[in-house]
Amino acid sequence: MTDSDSWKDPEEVREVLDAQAYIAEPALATAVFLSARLNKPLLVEGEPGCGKTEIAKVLAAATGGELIRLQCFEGLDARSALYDWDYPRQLLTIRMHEREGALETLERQIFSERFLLRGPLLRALGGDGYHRPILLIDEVDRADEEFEGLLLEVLSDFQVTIPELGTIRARRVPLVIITSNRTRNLSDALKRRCLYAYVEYPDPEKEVAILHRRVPTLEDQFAHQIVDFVQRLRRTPELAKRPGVAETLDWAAALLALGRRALDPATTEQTLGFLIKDADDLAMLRAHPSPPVETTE
Amino acid sequence: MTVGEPTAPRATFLARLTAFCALVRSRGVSVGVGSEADLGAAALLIDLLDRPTFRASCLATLAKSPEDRETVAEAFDEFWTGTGRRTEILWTGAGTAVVRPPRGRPRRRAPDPRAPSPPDVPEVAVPFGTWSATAPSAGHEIRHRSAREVRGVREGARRLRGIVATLPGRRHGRARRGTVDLRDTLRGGLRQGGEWVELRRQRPRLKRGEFVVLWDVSGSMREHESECFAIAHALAAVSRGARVFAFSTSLTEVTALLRRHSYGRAAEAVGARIDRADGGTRIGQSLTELVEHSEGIVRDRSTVVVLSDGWDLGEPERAGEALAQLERRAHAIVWVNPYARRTGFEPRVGALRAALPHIDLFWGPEDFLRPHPPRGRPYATVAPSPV
Repeated sequence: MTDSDSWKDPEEVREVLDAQAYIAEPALATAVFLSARLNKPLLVEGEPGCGKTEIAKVLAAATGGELIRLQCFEGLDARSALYDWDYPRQLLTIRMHEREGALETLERQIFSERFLLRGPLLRALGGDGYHRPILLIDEVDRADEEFEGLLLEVLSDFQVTIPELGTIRARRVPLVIITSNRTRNLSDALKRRCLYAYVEYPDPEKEVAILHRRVPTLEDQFAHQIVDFVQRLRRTPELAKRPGVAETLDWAAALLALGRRALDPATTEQTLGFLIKDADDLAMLRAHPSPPVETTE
Repeated sequence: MTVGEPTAPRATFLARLTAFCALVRSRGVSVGVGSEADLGAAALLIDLLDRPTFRASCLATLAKSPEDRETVAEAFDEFWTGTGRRTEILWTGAGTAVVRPPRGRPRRRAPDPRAPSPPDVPEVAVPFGTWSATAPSAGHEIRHRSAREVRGVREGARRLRGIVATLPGRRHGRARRGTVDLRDTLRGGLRQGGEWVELRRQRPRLKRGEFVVLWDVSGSMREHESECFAIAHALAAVSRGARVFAFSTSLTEVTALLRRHSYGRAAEAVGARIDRADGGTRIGQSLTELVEHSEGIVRDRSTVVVLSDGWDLGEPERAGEALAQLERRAHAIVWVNPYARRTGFEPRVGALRAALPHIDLFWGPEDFLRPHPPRGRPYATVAPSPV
């Protein structure tokens, strides 16, 4: 376990991530390092399936901090993200004490932390004060623009104001990772509060290294074949959805499960669905199999 | 490279850092004082002699998009290492781009007498968006644009989103400001025993802009391909549920290609994907195709944006009928004609005249760069008789 506050330089971050089988580019390691040391949220954008969400998981595993995930979706509001009152319990308590008549005491009691349902954002401000929590705000572009306004107070001051309880400040500023798939532009106000990193598709050498780290039983020549094929697919401009690293890993695991030790055209065609998730792309590739498969048989 | 102990930045270095931020700003990247302060704070944490880490820190603190990253990286190479691009392309917003030598102080390094003298780059104004024999559009390559230009068009797309959200004749909702809602005020008064306690107000309810873009990629639109792509890309960027279709004689959806890539790569991918017929356009046929498959695409909150000059080989009535159906389903219809703001322009072509009664806004590409673009239906009185 390592404490993110004690990181000395980006190289140390690379080593920490590498120990968790996450191979990070120097630019990404620098952004994570600065995010941890400057207490600024890190906005990570990039191609789908290239490890944006994985960064937060790996950081949580490396630092021992609790991973608190807020999965964004259309219609996400303050109640789901911040807090809500436990209304059934409050009503039950009122019914139990209504004959006693001490209304003022009762009001204080039912609006105490005991009746507070903490959402992910509020939980990230809590923690044990020792381990730094990792707050993952995943796919923020799926949430409404109004929700970004809610995030501003939390992300700039790391505090939340609850009218009945007052202002709750973070015991320890969480390490915040925000991911976006760029399905819409985020507001400038949110971007200004964040550091920025962009995760691109890895080059062949890096992708082979990732395969070896994540699928250790894969032979080197087979890994090169798989990566070569995937890289060719990514270079096909007609594809609407190009395969990410996650797809490469899934495909490699599937090929191993089928007992293959080398690529052949028949298996490739049968398992193409692991890489290509778009019906038009699949049809186009099957009609024009431009990325050739080099057999080693 | 060996990473040593972090070096504290001196005042002169901070001055250079400020100058660097100014250079990045001049390239069209919006760098706030907060980001500048972040870079200053980052400089305290890293080894400034470690150039790759310093470069990565500049990217992490100043850039906020892949396009920004390219611009910041170029500016970094130019400012801190003396390499990088030699010229600067500035969008003027008046149909031309200005190509300039790089700004900033000249480098103090003594020139190498053996090295060839650098080319003299004069400041020249070049038209954009016009086809030329040397332009690479013949291979379906869409010409790239400067970051500033892309940003300008995107601002225009945001303005369009705001305008279509409040088009008149739509639903209103209760608001603190706006026109007095007499009916609601009376209703509220009845609950108070007939006393008018408060004046209730209303304003047009905001509809979240959701664009369905139809981009004409036929031969007659070739010279406007670059600016139309910029508009389509911007509309897709500012609206979450946007769908973009290129059409000539049939529809091709290019939404995923626009969304997944940065501007430059999206231009390459779309250029490779689209089927551009040099022979002509069938607007009516393409619009009918959209109407037939519009379930889940064109919804009551959709704004259909047609990027076309209106030249049509098919029957103009068919375009009118399809647009009439779209008008019933969609929130609004916007037609962007590349010639709309040219002197002496009149909507003469058949498909355009047939479409006019159904159009809510009629824009030219230049309107995306205006702070106060036109609203309303300028040709509402033109008869839909095809010419």
